[in-house]
Amino acid sequence: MAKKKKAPHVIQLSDIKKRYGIGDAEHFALDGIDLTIRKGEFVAIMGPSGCGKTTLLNILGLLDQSTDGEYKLNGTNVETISQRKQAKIRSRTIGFVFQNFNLIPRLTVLENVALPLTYKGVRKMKRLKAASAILKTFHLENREYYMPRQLSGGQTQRVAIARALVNEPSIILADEPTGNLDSHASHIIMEELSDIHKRGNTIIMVTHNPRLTTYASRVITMLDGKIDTDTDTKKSEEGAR
Amino acid sequence: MIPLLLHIQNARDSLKANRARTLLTVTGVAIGIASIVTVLSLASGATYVVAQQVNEVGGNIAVIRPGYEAPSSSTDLVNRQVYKQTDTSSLTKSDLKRIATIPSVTAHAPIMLVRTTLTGDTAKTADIVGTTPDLLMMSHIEMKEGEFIESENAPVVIGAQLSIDLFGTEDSLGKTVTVKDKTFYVGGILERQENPMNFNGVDFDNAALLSPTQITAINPTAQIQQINIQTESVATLDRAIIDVNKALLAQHNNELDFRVLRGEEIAAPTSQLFTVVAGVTAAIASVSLFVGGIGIMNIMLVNVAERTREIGIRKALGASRSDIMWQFLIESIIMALIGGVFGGLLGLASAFVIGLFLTFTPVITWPIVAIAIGTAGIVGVLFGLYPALRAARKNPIEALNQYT
Repeated sequence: MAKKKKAPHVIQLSDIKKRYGIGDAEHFALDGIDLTIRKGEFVAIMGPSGCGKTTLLNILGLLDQSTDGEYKLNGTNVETISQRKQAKIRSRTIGFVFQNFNLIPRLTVLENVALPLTYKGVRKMKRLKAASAILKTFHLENREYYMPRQLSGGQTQRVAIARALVNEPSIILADEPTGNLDSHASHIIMEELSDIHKRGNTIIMVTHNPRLTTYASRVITMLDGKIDTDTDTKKSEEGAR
Repeated sequence: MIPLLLHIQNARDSLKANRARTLLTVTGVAIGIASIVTVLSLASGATYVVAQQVNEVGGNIAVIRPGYEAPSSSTDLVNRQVYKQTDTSSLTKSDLKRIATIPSVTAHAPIMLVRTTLTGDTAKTADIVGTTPDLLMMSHIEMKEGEFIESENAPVVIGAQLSIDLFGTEDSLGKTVTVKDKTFYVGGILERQENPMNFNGVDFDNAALLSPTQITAINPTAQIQQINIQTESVATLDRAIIDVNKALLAQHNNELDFRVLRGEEIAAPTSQLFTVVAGVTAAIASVSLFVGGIGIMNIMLVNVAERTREIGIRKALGASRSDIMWQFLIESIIMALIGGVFGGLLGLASAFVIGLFLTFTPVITWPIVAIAIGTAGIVGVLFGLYPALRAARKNPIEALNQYT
């Protein structure tokens, strides 16, 4: 625990709110989230449907903007910066893994994995080499020239994880990464994620499945746009007692 | 923003993925560009022919025409104050005599035109040209048989086609032609012309040539419509033109009712007319280009709608708005440019096919190539911009949640 405390903050949220609708229809998908995530944590966010966990993930990934509050990523405030700079941050420091994989169907596996590097301005040969190297670590080297539709669900998600990792992001955001997979494939995916975590990556995962939380180092449950429980604060509170 | 090269690779990949669709869209643009190129290359071909003739004769030729300065702008084309055959020519026989005394002018020949009926074995209405022996070396005409006009009372020289019309043969040397009450022997037959268009404004294949004296005898009102002058070399032409201008101004009481033209200026009326006609036709042709452009916009909107999810993914992976915009814009520009290149080739091909039925061959010049490619590029940008901006503005979350 002590070791983890020393790790630098990657994400600092203070009083983040996200409001939808106005007037009578107004409701807060996020209603005052305070959250600090350190480097190397594997955070699982749990909660019932509509509790705001995906909205939180979208805000963390700079795909969405909060209505109120402050979001610091690696120490810099990223809520107020330009669209262009946000895109740059997405390209360099964030890797996404989606429930429905989101590979581009008309590109090969290799091209899909190489795609994030495109927006970093890496040349084509270098891109493909880097993509090929990362696919090898997922034992997918003989699937490089397959099209996404030719892969099984588990393979597709491994390709998607490879894509999320290819530009060496400082955080990986996973939205129900096993939601569309059977238990066997889910297990393999979670093993991969846990492996990535052991190599020192920060992972934030949204999930419905309580069994998956065993892979996480910290579990946060949300309810009605607020953080309900957080294993980290519990521990620290227990430690304080 | 990411480098252009990456966008181009990207666009190429996505265009390849939809080959049939790309091909059809490109065809639309190609047809538009082709029609413009066809019109322009035919027009410049026509202008080129006339200018070329002046150069081939030696470039040491100037032409004196009656009337005032040609209009500088094409809008005056309708009301322009230039000489028409029915007007009274400001050039006179005394002008001709005066020109003969200018030392820097080594040769000169008038062109007098009278349209009348000639009777050989059969009758035929044709132009009779009154001119002097010098015309032979200043024009594109050559003798097939017999001799050119050598004196004041020479036999008539007739064009090859006129000979056939009058006598049913090109070999009519020594036969007689009656014009009004006068009879002439055929003393020479002209070689068939390669091209009926020339700077003398005479179709020599269908004309008869006589001396000025003879033509005045046939029609006392025959007028000098043009005087060709020739100098020793190109170098002395400037000098001669100044001399002629001075001499004629004095003759005409300082009234500048004539023009001394050289080189390109001689072809100018033709070229100006062609430019206007070509411009109008090109404008009509550009309607088809506009339709091609709408085709591009249409297909790009479909592309954007189809790839909404892809746009969301790309944005999540770090694409900025401008990256997305350029991705789609460059796709449409590439389609338009491919259309431009194929359209250019197609246009040239069709111009040459049309040229087979005309008396001149189309000419492709760099400005035409530039216009073709440039217009195609502009079409690509213009019609690609709206779809591209729409793509760029898509909300990534909504885009990601869209199922297609």
